[in-house]
Amino acid sequence: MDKRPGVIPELIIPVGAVLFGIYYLSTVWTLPFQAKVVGLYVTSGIVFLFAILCFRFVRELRSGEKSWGLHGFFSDPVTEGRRWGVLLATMLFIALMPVLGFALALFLFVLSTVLLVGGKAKIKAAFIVATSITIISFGIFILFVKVRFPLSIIDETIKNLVL
Amino acid sequence: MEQFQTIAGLFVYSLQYWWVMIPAVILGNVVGAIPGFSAANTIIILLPLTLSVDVEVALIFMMALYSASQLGNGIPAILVNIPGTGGAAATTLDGYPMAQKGQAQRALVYCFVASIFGGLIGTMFVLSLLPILSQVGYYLHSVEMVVIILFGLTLIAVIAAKDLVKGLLAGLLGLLIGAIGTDFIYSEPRATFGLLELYDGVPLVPALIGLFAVSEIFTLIERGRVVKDEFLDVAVSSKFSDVWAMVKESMSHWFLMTWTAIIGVVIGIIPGAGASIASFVAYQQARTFSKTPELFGTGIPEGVAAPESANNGVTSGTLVPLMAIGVPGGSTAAIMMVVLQYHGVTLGPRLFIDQPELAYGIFTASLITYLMMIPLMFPMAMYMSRVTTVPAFLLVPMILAFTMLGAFVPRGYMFDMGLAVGFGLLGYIARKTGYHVTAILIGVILGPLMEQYLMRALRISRGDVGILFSSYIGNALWVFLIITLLIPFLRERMTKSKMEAG
Repeated sequence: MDKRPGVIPELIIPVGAVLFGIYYLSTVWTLPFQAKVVGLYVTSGIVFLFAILCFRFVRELRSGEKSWGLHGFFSDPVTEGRRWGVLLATMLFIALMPVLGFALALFLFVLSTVLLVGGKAKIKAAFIVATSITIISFGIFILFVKVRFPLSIIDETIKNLVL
Repeated sequence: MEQFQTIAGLFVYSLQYWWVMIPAVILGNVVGAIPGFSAANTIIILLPLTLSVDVEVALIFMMALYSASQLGNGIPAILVNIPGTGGAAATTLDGYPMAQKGQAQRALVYCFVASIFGGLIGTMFVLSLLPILSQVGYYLHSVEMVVIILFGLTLIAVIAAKDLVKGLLAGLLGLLIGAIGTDFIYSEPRATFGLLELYDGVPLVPALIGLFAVSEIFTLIERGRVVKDEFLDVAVSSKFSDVWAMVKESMSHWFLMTWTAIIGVVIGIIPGAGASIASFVAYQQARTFSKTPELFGTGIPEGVAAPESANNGVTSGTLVPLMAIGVPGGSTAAIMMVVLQYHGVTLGPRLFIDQPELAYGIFTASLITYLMMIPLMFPMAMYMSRVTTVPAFLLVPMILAFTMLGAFVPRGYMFDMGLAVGFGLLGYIARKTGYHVTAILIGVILGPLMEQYLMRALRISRGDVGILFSSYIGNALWVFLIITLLIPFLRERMTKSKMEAG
């Protein structure tokens, strides 16, 4: 297996920046010069730097310093599983909060994250941490600062019991 | 002489309000340390309180909270690589590597000493030179501001990223992300992907949380805990008694802290520039004049002291244009202006004649706040440093939960939590591939500002780009910018020639 660092991961950000620059310009193209001046200059700068990077990568590929591929970007499968699991749990938390409400969504999110990172053996710790974070967050964000998070019947009941 | 007598009298008078300052200092540290909260939005939340009390109490409370929040920003930057605001982004460069080496307590003590020392020096500097300093803003117009912002960004790209090209590309990407939203003059949406939530531009708090907190969490999962395993013993062996020795050690850098605080004050006076630029300029200055510049970025205390002293110097600096010409130098100063105007205080040059006790009182209150932080903050350094030894399965959910909720707070959109995750992925890829997240964040912060000044300059010149080279100060700054870009190449060439000669 090729152990040399791959250039593909290093190209994600410059390629993304160039594409975003093109999209940005497409949205300002019909506007007067003053409104598109930042887009024009900054995108030109990004394209110029991208060209330098491409030139450098070609040189590194030719000299054998780097290879085509993704080597060095991903860790071992267990860590990657945890990482993607946490990402998925975060996205589910955001998607489900309007349905489940603040307290339940937060409790389930913290519980699942502790279990994902620490494993099933940490079930007791997961319950303690999830309960503590939910209580503290509810106190700070809902009761004290009164942030308008989506509230369910559970949240309303707790709120009415406390206040 | 009369001015100093007034200041001395106000100092004693402000001391009576210790009961306002202590809770404000504690609250300021907490809100400064939590990304999503800041002195500005905390004062907004507490507006009913500040509007209902006497003007002196309101002023002292706001000032104490503002000063303490600047110190609080550096705490998570050191412990978990998440700056409370953009102003503490430079602190992560050396603070976090120190924490990873088991020196979190030392880094925190340096952070506290530099913040307090920088704040005191900055306040005293402003108090003694207020009439002169208030003139600085008159010489900086839109052209100079554009160059200052570009200079700041170049500096960050050169400092933060090991690779200049990648650093500049990250900074430019940040600028372009910062330019998303409706433009200032024609109100046309740009690059919003059709999302209404982006019409006001990219919100800074989710960007900061994503780029620093979420991306750091993804790397923390891999490492297991903040402190590296080989330094775990060092981290847990830190004692409370070490604090005093560390305070003495950090005070040996008093000269570094003094001039970086003055850098902070001067940059703070420029409206809009703020702590983000000041801390990086201070960091770069500390590195340039250091005997061991190659150690910067590996976890050395000077790399913590310089930016922390500067961003606390900014606190006093941002208030100078507010008090002298009635123009707030930052968001917190703008909110303070609203509160003061509600109380019937008219800000501007007449303030020093009509109400000198208020004009100078704001700075004496800041001075006392910094003195009060000494007994309040140092005993906590040891306990705070233990955060670095907490295992990832506990730290990850805690950070993730609080920061995701923090992303929601400023605007109240669920969309902002999703945006934080998006920025988290961008930050994670950037970290993995050597494009520094700090450069992206500073670009996002400075993008709208730069655009505003650039548009203004071009409207004055009717679209002639030559206006950017039309002022002496601007041209001098262009020269500095080019020198900053050339330094890495020159340094590389010198190292190469030395090696060849060797």
